Order: sequence, then structure tokens, then C-alpha cells
Amino acid sequence: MRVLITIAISSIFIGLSSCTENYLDAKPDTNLVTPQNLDDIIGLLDNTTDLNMTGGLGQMGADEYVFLDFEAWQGTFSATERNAYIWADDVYEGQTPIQDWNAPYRSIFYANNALQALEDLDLSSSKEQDQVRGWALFIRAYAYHDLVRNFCFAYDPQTSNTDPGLPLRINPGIDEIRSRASLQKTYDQIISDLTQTVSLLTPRFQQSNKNRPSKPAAYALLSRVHLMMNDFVNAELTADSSLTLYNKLIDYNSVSQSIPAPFPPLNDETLFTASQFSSYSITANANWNTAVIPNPNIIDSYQDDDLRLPVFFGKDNQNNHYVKSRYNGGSPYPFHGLAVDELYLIKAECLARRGKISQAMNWLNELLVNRFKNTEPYRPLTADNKEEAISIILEERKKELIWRGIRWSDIKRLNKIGASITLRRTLNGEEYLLSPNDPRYAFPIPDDEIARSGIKQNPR
Amino acid sequence: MKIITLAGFSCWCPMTIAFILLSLPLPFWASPSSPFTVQQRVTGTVTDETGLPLPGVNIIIKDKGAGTMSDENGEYSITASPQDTLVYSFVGFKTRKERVGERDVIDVVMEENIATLEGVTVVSTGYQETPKERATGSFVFIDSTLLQRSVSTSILERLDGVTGSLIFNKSGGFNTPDISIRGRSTILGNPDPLVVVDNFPYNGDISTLNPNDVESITILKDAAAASIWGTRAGNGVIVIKTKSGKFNQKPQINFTSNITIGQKPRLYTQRGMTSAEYIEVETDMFERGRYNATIDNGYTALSPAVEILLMHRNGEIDLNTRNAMLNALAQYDSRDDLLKYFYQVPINRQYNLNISGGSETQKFFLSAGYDRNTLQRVGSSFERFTLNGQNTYNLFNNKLQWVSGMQFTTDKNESAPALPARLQQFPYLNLAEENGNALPFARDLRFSYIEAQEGNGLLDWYYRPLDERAPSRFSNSQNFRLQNNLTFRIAKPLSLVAFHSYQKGVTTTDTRNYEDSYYTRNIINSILSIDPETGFVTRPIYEGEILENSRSTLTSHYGRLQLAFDEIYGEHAINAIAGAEISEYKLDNASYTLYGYNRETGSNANAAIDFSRQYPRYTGAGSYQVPTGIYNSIQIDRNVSYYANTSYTYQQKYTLTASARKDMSNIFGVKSNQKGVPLWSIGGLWHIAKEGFYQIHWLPQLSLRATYGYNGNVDKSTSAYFTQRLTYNNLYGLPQYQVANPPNPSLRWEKVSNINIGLDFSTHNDRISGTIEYYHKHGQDLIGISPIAPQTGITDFRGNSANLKTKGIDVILNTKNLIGQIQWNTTILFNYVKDKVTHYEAEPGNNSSVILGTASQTPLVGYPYNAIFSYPWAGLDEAGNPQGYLNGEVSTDYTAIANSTDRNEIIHNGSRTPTYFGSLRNTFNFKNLQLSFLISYKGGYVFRQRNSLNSTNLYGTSGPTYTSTTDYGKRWQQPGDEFKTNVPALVYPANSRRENIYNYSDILVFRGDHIRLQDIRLSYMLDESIFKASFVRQVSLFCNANNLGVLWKRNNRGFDPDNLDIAQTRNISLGLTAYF
Repeated sequence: MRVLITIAISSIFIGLSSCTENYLDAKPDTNLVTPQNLDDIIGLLDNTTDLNMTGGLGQMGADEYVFLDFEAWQGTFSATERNAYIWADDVYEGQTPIQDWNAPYRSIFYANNALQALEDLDLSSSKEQDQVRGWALFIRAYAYHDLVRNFCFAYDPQTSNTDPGLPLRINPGIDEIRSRASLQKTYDQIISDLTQTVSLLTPRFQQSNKNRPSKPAAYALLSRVHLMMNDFVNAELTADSSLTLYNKLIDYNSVSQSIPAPFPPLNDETLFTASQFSSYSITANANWNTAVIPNPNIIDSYQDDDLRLPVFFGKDNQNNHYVKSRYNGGSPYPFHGLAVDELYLIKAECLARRGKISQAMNWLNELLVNRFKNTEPYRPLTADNKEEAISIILEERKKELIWRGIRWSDIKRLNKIGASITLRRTLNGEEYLLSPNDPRYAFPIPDDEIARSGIKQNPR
Repeated sequence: MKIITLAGFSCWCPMTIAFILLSLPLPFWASPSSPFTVQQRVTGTVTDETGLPLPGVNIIIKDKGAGTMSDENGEYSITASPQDTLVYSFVGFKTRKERVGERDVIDVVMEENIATLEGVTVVSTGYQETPKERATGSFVFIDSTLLQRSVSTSILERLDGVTGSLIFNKSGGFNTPDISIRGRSTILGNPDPLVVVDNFPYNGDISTLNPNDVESITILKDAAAASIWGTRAGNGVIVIKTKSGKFNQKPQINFTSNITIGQKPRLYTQRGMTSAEYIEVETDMFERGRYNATIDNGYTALSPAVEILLMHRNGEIDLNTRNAMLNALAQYDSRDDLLKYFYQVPINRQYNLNISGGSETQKFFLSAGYDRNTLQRVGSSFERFTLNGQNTYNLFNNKLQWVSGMQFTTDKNESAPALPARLQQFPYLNLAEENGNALPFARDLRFSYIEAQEGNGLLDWYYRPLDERAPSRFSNSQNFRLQNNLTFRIAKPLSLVAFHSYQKGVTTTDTRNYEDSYYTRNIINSILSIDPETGFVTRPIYEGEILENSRSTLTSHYGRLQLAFDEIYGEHAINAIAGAEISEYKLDNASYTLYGYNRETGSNANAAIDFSRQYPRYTGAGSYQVPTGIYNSIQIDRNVSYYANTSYTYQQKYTLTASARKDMSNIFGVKSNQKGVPLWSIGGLWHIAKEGFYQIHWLPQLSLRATYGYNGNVDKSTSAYFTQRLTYNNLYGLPQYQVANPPNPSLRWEKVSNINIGLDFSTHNDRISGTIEYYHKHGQDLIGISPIAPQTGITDFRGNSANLKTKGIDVILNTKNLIGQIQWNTTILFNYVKDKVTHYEAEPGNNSSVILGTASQTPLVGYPYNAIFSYPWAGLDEAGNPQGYLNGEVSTDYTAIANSTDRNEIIHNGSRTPTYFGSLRNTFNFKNLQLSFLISYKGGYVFRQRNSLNSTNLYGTSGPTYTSTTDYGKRWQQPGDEFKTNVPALVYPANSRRENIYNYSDILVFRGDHIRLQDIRLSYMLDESIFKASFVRQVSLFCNANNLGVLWKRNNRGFDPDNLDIAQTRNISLGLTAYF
């Protein structure tokens, strides 16, 4: 009997070999796919481990924090963290990989592959396909805007055609190495991607899955990018477009002051979620990050009934302030995404810059009324002139957007229009200075990128 | 397909017969017949053990020289007298003698001669068995005697030191397999040799095979030998043949038992900082504020020494008390408690019983084995039970042979939780009170924090290492393998063989994090929350065991249909096989985790957990998402292959072989026409000593072999198309994909060309015999990693990127130094292997990347794949800083030295893997006593001393580990020390580039050459006469001592290059084998 079975089985096997083609088409691994449909592409863009990640260099270079003391600075293990604090010439000391560069380019690679897959699949045009295309373009723009903040000089229309920008990659092919485009071209690319995104996305705002962009989020990013260019007209226009579609703020009176993660990951104010990736410890918003404290000048500037002080900051074991989690739930890494509060501040600033003082202050007050204790009536802020209005708005911007990764690009753009902000650090009696428009506002491009692609390094 | 082409051979048949008739030698016509004796005609049939007729057997009358040969039906006829003795001899079979007596019919069964190194060996490729006399390829044959020489649970371990050209890699390196045959053939592909058990590859863990069931092992080294296995043969093939019974043999019973006693790990041989030195470092760092950030958060664990230092700083104790406490701490040695409570003497017990025998038409082999090993870690053990049966039936007048084999294995692995890294960091831990009670250790949290939380509804939060020794990981596997081969002897010389093998293995692993284990208590506590107003306690994870279960099921089918042609036409012998093969190997993995699991009721509390939620941590340190532990994947490997292998021998002097194979595989994302690769080989063999002109009488055997061909290798993880892999869920609980593979339209199969030239020789009576082989391998289009600019979105690219040349020499020399009463035999193995990267797509970048190998192990063209490079050392400067060279000048510009791309500024020290190695085995026999010892050697390679002194390690995030700093005491401390030492001064904070100049300098690279005494074996065979009246036929006893130590080493720092960190443990085995 077994003989027969064996013969039978063997002959089946041999018989099978005639249909080898189908037999060898079996997927070697169920978890492996080449994108076959829209869902596969969505799955790729839904990767929140590799996408929605931003760099941390700018935050470490800015003035939102100080090291507790020299010992704490010395005791910080990562050379990049120590060096970014004092804007050292050799920031990385050979450390690789530098995710501030690699992570955004990985996002760009994902976005380009998604766009390529959309093209290759040749799907019949549909609303859903437009959403996915817009999403991919948005991811690409978000990554470029983050790279620009850290690795390029502040935007200056006089020099933007000669200032080095970024290698602009718009195809997924990895065999082609791009040299650095001009800063103007880089901004043009970001704005063109976002303009397309805006036209592709439906106006409906999505309250779930905040890793996916919505139309208001696309306008918000456009607005932020225009502001980085000191283009107040367009910044205001796009801020308006975003706020028209969605303008909900969270009333901080309803937010817990005791827990370390007061905001759920899906909250009303977040437009698009992004976090600083998890390489650096000194930027962490957690009570174990005791090596640094938030800049005491900013802490002292919060008024007594300003809820942002107890909501944003806790007290650690040594009674020092530490930063709590913000709009990305319990993540110990800073929220670097887009939220409605930033648009109120952009709108207010743009209004003030064109002399609409009372309107500007109205927008600011509309935001702040949600930030102050409601046990007493809110006393609106007022300004007598344009300069005062701008100054108040920028002061509030600093307090509202602390630890959101925006301050570094703010200092850069403001210094371009005469703010004369000089950054200072003191360590062990030694003082370190970063004067306005210093070339060190652009961090060096990581050593491995320079070694492998030979693109132009930033001056130090 | 192939079968049809082969059918063409059948028209040869009539020709064949005529040919044989013509060439039949009829020497008995000439035989002188003695006039004084009665001559009689003796006829008979000569068959092999399977009952197959043996043609061409030489039959001579002893001392008379007259003789004949058996015909194609194995029949013979000879004229002899009753007092004559007939001698039957045939290549590959034991010579038989039969006294004629009154018989006129003498049927002879010839026994195959497979188990002797000196005699004729039959090499098995898993597809066919070829007498070595006709093999052109490079084979190493290891018989059961040699395999039984050592004791081990796994069969492959027994090859160590006794097999030429096979090395057990002990010095590490990138993608380096445990065993390699003739060096490296691939970079990223599977580097392991293929293991074949009785015709088919063995899937799963080879340790499920009982070594006592193994009859012999053949190692296939070159293209001609291995190409029959196609793309899987790139790294060589190990063919294991299991035992089978014998025809016409009474049942025999064999019992084997042995015990191996090892040692606890030799922790005291580990180099490192003493407790006092470690406390010195901690005190220094404490004073510099290194721990301030940790101390300040109030909950993160501090080391015992730092706690004492902190007490002093807080004014709780005075300086004298502090110093007294630190001194007391320095008296402890963590290793004392580790050895006392966590390690035990490992003992392996092995029992095996088998019975074998056979009738005229059937033979069988049945065996049962049991192993029980207690492992070094307390709470860890291994148990295995194996059952193996093989039956062979000759049916329908030997027209059909059916071989049916079945193997069943079940094993059980139990292990205790791994020692946490933090526990192994400190040299001064005291883990138990005097009376043996467990003491807590600050693993994650400070004691003061735990104490302060007491009464808050938390579970006990202390970690007590001694309480965590019970086995918690239980792995059970059942493996079942069924094989059937049917050989149809269609008509001489054609036969058709159908092979089938089915294997199923299920491994279930339960990690039981018991309710009272620290793991479970810690997870429950860490996300517990207390309502600040009501004080109400919420535990997202319920109390109870956390059970992590994973199950892996492998199923494999192999089917093969093979047509064989085997015929001798006088001076021409033709042997050919051709066939088709199809296989499927499927691996199904699934896992889940149960929280709040109750072992008695089987219930769990998973439903209470919101797996998508970020639960805030109790300590306030961020949040924790409870992992579901759910994972599912199925991997399928399918192959279809066609192959043919032929050999032609003329006058038993010249042999030509050729083989071809096409493999097709279900590679993902490749067009069908790229799924396959054709591979081939050719070979020749010339028995020089059989030539008429050959005059060297002292060297009666001399033959020359040469082969050329291609092996392949497949890397299924790479694809030509853009592919993405499903990973765990994203932030919002949705499935997310990761890029697995960027598009690579130029992807090709790896190919390895292979040249082998061999010389076999032996003197009279095999006093000196051996083999010398030279080979040359050229790997092309090897898939490697190329570092590419991060702007592309990836930093490493997998693709065809390397060519690698490997050259080598294998020498095996057997000598019989003494024969007679005292026998002394020696086997010398010598292997030389050197590889060189001849092409690599990518440049590794700066010198730092070359030396550190950070750029994804990109090798440097012109050097061995596993080369060690280093910075030239220029000594210490007057401040104790390491100095290197930059542009020929002594320099401390560490960044510039690291970033230099001038390869003249670095030193190539040599290969990381031995370039020559081998062994010397001496065996002495005196009566029933046998003594043998094995000395092995390795040379022509270098190793780097890790762990000298590195500020980066010392001041690293998790703090120093005492064993990772070995030269603390030798460091530069004051001016002038630079003349006495090369160990730099410590700097805080660490500058990794400065540390690298020293740690990767040439002064820390040493020659690895060494000789070790691997084992000594003494065995005694109790004489048969002792058991005369009993059913016992024979008993042999043995004693083996293993890993006896290094006899000589080139480095003068006391390093054993094979065991850099800790000395190897020795073991001793005792055993007996009895035949009934």
C-alpha cells in the first residue's frame, strides 16, 4: 500500500513540475508584498515608525533650555548633544547615523516610492487615489521643510538663488546621487508639492489617524513655510485658508495639570502629528531628563494664572521644571507636528506686521483665552503700536510653542529681518556665542553623506 | 523531459551485450591444471548484500594465480580442486575467501567495504554512491569509528578537528557560520553548508538527529562533488548517512551509554577591573557629576557604590563611614555568588539501544536514544528522545527495492531567565545573605523609591536575582521524518528510483513569566495608576502570569524521480543518473501573549487591556504600550530542479565526469525566466599507477583528479522589485509596511566557479597514504551591502556587489608508523585557505569606516573579506593621549586621522579567520587497549584585543561593565608614564575618536597562531573470550578528556585566540558500548 502511495506522491510531484510556473509563484513570505493596490500604498504611508519623524538639532541649538550645570553637560553621553549645545565646529565627532538628516530623507524615499507605485499601478482616477497622492506629496514636503530648518541658512531673497539648499529627490531610484539645489529651488519644491497637496485633498477634516494630512494641515504647513521665508502675505493667506476649514482650540481649563501626559494622541488641536525621533535624550519631555531645564527666562515669563506653566511643565524630584508630553500623547519625544495654535499666532503676527494691531491682538487673545484660568475673567492683551504688538505676539509664540521644534527657525528668520538675537551659553566659566546670521545656523551635513555623495558641506 | 532523453540509452542494450561477450576475458583456458589433483568445475553467483548480481568480480585460485571474472549476471565458472581456496575480490567490497571442498556450487555474497579509510570508500552525494576510485571530485569521508571517537549531543560537533578543510569558526566576524568548508563563498547569503541526511536536506535543527544513528559522513567540497546540489551547494555539503541493517545477518543488539561531566563557566579567568578599581571609577564619576541626572529623577536605579557615595554627599554618613562601607563592598566578588547560585556542573548523559539484522530479502535497523543534559545555568536542561527505524525490502526477485525510514524526535529545552546585563555589570555584588536568603538588587528602580511607594497598592517591586532561577522558558519540539525510496530495476543496466521525504516539526515555546516573577510584577506596577483624589488603584494589566507562547511548524516535502544507468562493457564503465526534483519547505510561525493568565483555569485578562493605548508610567517617565505579542507569518521555499550526472571510466584508469543542474526557486519579485540558474561541472581522474610506464614500485597507488564547475547560492531576501514588509501596528493600531527592498532591476544569482586538482597516493600496505588538493574558487556577483548616501533614503543597499577569490590547499596524510603488536597510526590534516576581495561596487569611505567596519562591513578590494585593519601606533604624548599618524607626522588630530582616505595611513594586520589550520591525530593500539589524542592548530590570522581601556565604554550611558575594561591598572596616570605604558589616560567626557585611535591601533592586534590539545581518548575492548558463556559478544569502554588547553600560542599576552574573553571549559566523558 505504502508503495503505491509513494509512487502516487512521487508522480504527483513530477506531474507538478510541468506547471512549474504557478508552483514557483508562491510568495516566499506572507508578510512581503510589492504594492498591488491602494491599500498597500496606504500601508506604506501609514508607517509611523519611519515617517512622521523630524530632527532634533535645531531644538538643541535653540534657546528653549539650558543645561543644569557643567557637570550635567559633561555627563551627557552623546557628543552630538554636547556639541549642538555649544554650536561646536565638529558636531558629530564621527557619530553615525545622524537621523536628523537620514530620517527625513527616509520619509522622502517612502513618499517617492508611494508616488511611483501610484503611477505604475495605473489606477483609474478616484477620490481616494487623490488623497493618497496628496498625502505622499505632503510627507515629502514635510521632510524637506524639516531638513531646510536644520541644514540650510535662513531664507534671504537676495541670496536664495546662490545659497545652498538640499539635494532634491523626487524619484525613488537610489542609483542617482543629487547635488545640492539652490535654497530657492528647495523652497520652490516644497511649495509646489504643498500646492498640489492642497488641490488633491478633500476639505473634510479627519479626527482619527493624525499621521495622515488633511487639507487644513497642508495649508498650515504652507503657512509655516511662508513664514520661514518671511513672506507674511502668503503666510497669512494660507493660515486663513487653514483656519477657515478648521480652527478648534483646546481649553486648557479642561486639561489635567497633574499627569505627565495631559493630552491624548487624538486631540482637537492637532492637525498633523510628527515627533522628534528618539536619538537624543536632552530634548526628551520626561521627568528623567534632569540634565537640562527649560530656559528659566521663558518659565518666569508665564503669568500666575497662565495654565500653560502647570500643563506644559512638571516639577522633578529636585524641584526643577521638566517638560511634559504635548500633543503626541505619552511620547517622551517632542511633538514636532502641526497644530491650530500655531496658525493663530501666524495670523496674529502677519496682521501685526501689516499694522492691523487690534485685529492681531484679537487673534492672539482668542488663543490665550483658552490658556488662562477661567476662574477669573480673562484680561485681553493690548498693544499701542505695531512694534509692541509684534513683540507681544512673538513673546507669546515663544511661550506657546516651546519644545515644538520651531524656535530655531524662528530665530533664523527673525534675525534676517533685524531681530538681532544672539544666543549665549555658559559652561564652566566659558562663554559660547552665536551671533545673528552666523553660518553655524546651518548644521554640518553628516560625514557619511559627504563621504558617499560628495555634496557640498556647510561652512562652519 | 530528462527521462525521455535518457531513454535513448536503451537502444544501446543489444550493442552492450555483444560488447561484453567480445571483451569477456576467459583466463581459465590458460590455467595450468595440476595432474595430481582431481579437478572439478565450480559454478556460482556473486551478489552484493542487497542481492544484486555483481559483474566483473575477480575470482582467483589462491597461490595458483589462475582465475576468472563473474559475468553480467554475477555468475562464474571455474575449474579447481577441493583443497583450493577461491579468492573473490572487487573494488569497493571486502575480499572473500572460500575453500572449495566438495562443493561444486559456491554462491558468494560480497560485503561492501564502506567503513575503512584505508580501503575502498564509497562516497555518497545524497543522489548516488560512487566508489572513490571513480570519483573525480573532492570528497572527505568520515567513518563511524571516527565519528564515535568523541562524545556530543549533536553530530556536527564530532567533526571538529578530525575533518580536513572544515573549520569551526570561533573568532566571529560578519555573517560567519559555525562551520565553513573551504572558506567563504558568500557575503550576505546563507553561509552555512548544506546538511543532507539520507538523500535529502535536513530542515530544522540538526541537533534533533541522534549521533548514534549515523553510519558515516561525506563532505562534498568542490564543484564536481557538490554541484549536484545546485544552488544550495555554494558553501559545501555535509552528507550524513544513517545506519541500516545487513542482509543475511542474525539480529544484533548494540547498547551505548556515556556520561560527560563539564565545568561551571570559568568566570575567574575573565579579565576585568577589580571591585576596588571599579569603585574607584564610580567614585571619580560621581564626583564629576556623571550620576547627577540619574540621581535627580529620584527613581532610576543606582549602583550600590553610588548609593553609598550619595549618602555621604547628603550628609547621612561621614567620610570614614563612607570609606569603610566602600571598602567592605570592595571585598565582594560577584563571581562568587554567580558561581555558587547560578551555575552548576553540566552533566550530559546519553543512552542508545539499537537492533539490526536481516534476512535474504529484508534488512532492518531500529534504534532508540535518550539524552539528558543539565546545562551550566541552574534551571536549564535539555532532554531528547529519538526513535529511528529503517527497513529495506527486496521484492519481486530483486526487481524492486523498497527502503523505508522513519525518524521521530522529541526534545525539551528548559531554561531560566537570562541574567540581566545590569546584573553582570558590577564586580562587587552580594546576592545572598549568609544563610542563603535572596538579597535584592537595584535593577530598574532605587530601593528608596520602592520603599517610598509602599502602601500605594503596588505589588512587591524588588528584584531578587536568587528568586528568579526557576526554569521559565519551556521549549518542546516534535520532529517526524518519513522517507521512502523505491528502486525499480527495470532491466539491467537501467533502474528507476523514486524518492520521497516528508518532514514535520513543531516547536512550541512557552515563556512563563510567573505571577511572582520580577518581570510580571514590574510590568504590572509600571503602568499602575492611582487616582490622586480617591486613591483608587487601576491596574491595566491584571495580576497573574504573563504567558508568551510561540509555535513554529515546519513542513517539508521532497520528491525526486531519478533514472540511473550503470553498466560495464569490458574496459568501459558508464554510470549516469538524471532526474527531476521538487521540494517545498514551509515554516509557519505564530505567537501570542496572555496577560493575567491563570494556569489552573486557563483564563486570561487580555480583554481588560487597551493595546492601542499609551499607558502613562507610574514613575512619570513617559508611557508604555502593552505589546500584544501577536505575530503570524508563513514562509514558503519552493524549488524545482533538473539534474544529470554521468561518469565514464576506461580501463579502470581514466574517468571523466560531467554534471549539470538547473534550479528554479520561488524568488519574489523576479520574472519567471530569472527564477532559475543553470550550474554545471566537469571532471577527470587518472590512475597513473595503473599505466604501463609507471615504474615507481614503492608507490603502488597514484592518481590525479581535476574538476571545474559552478556552484551557486541564493539570497531570497533580495528582490528585483520594490517590496515592502508588513510590520507591527502603527501609532493608531493600523497595519504598517516598511520598505524591505528598493527596486534592483539588475539583480543576478550568485555564482561560484570552482577548480579542484587532487593527487591521491599510497605506498605499499598503505604505510603512507594521503591526498593533496589544490583549489581555487571565484565567487562572482556575490550579494553584498554597499553603503550609499543617506540622501537616497537608505544607507545600505543589498545587491550584487562583490567578487571574491579563494585559494587553498588541503592535505590529508595517514601513516602507519608501527604495525604488529603495538600499532601506531597518525593522521595529519593540513589546510591552507586564503581569500581576497577582487571587486566591490562600493568604497568603504574613510579610514575609520575601513577599520571599524561601520560602513556595513564593506571590505577593501585586494584584501581578505574578513581582514583586520588598524591605525599605526605612535605612542602616548606627555599628557597620556594616544597618538596616530597624519600625512606621515605624529598627530593627535583624531578627526582628521579618522576622516583620512589615504589607505597608506592604515595597517593591514591580516585575516581574522585562520589561513591555515589542521590537526594531528595519533592512535596507539596494544592488544585491546587503544590510546589516541588529537592536537589541532590554527595559524596565519590575527585578532584584536577588545576591552583594553576605552573611556567611551567606561563613561557610557549604562555605566561601565567590569569585564569590558581589562587594562585599567596599566593606564597613563602621571607624566612619565608615557614611557612605561601604551594605555592612554582616561578622559571625561569621552571622545570616541580619541578612544578609537588607541583601541583600533596595531598594538592591540596579535597573531592568533596557536596549538591546542583538543582531546585524549583511551579505550579498552573486553575480550570476547570473557563472555564465552554469555549472550554478550563484546564490550568496549572508553574515557575521553576534551578541551585540554592551549599547548602553544604566538601572542605573549596570555590570550587563547579561540576564547578571548573566558577560558574554555574542559570536560570528561566515560562510556561503554556493548554488542549482544
